[in-house]
Amino acid sequence: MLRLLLAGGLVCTLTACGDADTPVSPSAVEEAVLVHDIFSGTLPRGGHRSYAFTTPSSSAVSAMLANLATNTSPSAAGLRVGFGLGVPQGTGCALREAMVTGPALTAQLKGLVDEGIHCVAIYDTGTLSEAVSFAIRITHY
Amino acid sequence: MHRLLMCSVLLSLAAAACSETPTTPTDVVIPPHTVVFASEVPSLGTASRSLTAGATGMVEVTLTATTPAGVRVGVGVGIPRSTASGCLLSQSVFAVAGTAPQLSLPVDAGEYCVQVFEAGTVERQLAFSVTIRHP
Repeated sequence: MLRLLLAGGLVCTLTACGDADTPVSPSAVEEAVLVHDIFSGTLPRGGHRSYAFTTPSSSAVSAMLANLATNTSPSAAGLRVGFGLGVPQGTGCALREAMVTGPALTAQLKGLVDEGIHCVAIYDTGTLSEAVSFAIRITHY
Repeated sequence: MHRLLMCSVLLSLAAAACSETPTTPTDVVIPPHTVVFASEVPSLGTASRSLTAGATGMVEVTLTATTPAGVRVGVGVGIPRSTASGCLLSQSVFAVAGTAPQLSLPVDAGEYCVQVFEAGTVERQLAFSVTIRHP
């Protein structure tokens, strides 16, 4: 009887090591796709430009002002412009987060946004002496 | 008694097999990749090459050789254009070939490009070699 009890205990202990969860059939899950948008154009002196994008669900968003260039310089690293993230309002972009920054290859703006339409904006803060071309990479789901 | 001892040992071993000893987490280090970009550009022309950074880190660009030698050449790092070939530069320098990186800048994981551009100092073709290190 004692042997039976011990053997039973051993079986129970060994069984406990395994994953007792019963496998279930996988259900259809929509896989979120990472999207990279490039917004490029020309920012006139004193002007602003914005770009709207849609997130189908709550999403991490990052925006990288990667390039500022003038007629004489393909990478005007010393220039600073306004750069922000917000939601479209009329024909513009109501900014929820903004900064003055120069070009870089690390995202200057990062955040979580709800499902819906959002926008990034670039604008002259009064420091540009001429129009500049720009390129912004926006990454979201 | 002997059997009892054996069972006891077996039970102890089985129980021990279930326990997972926590280990100290270690940082995952992704070794940098090294790519050699060797090509030619015409006078006032450009040449670009794309690269993928697998993680956040530093991109280092070294213009190692030009033919003719001693020519100042533009070298930059940026993001690829979305609709056409070419590179939208974030930073660039004019440099003579050497052994130390002429450009070094942090990047997020993602797609980038290196561009070499000739500023009109050669009459025809300029051959170059650039070594790119990236995460």
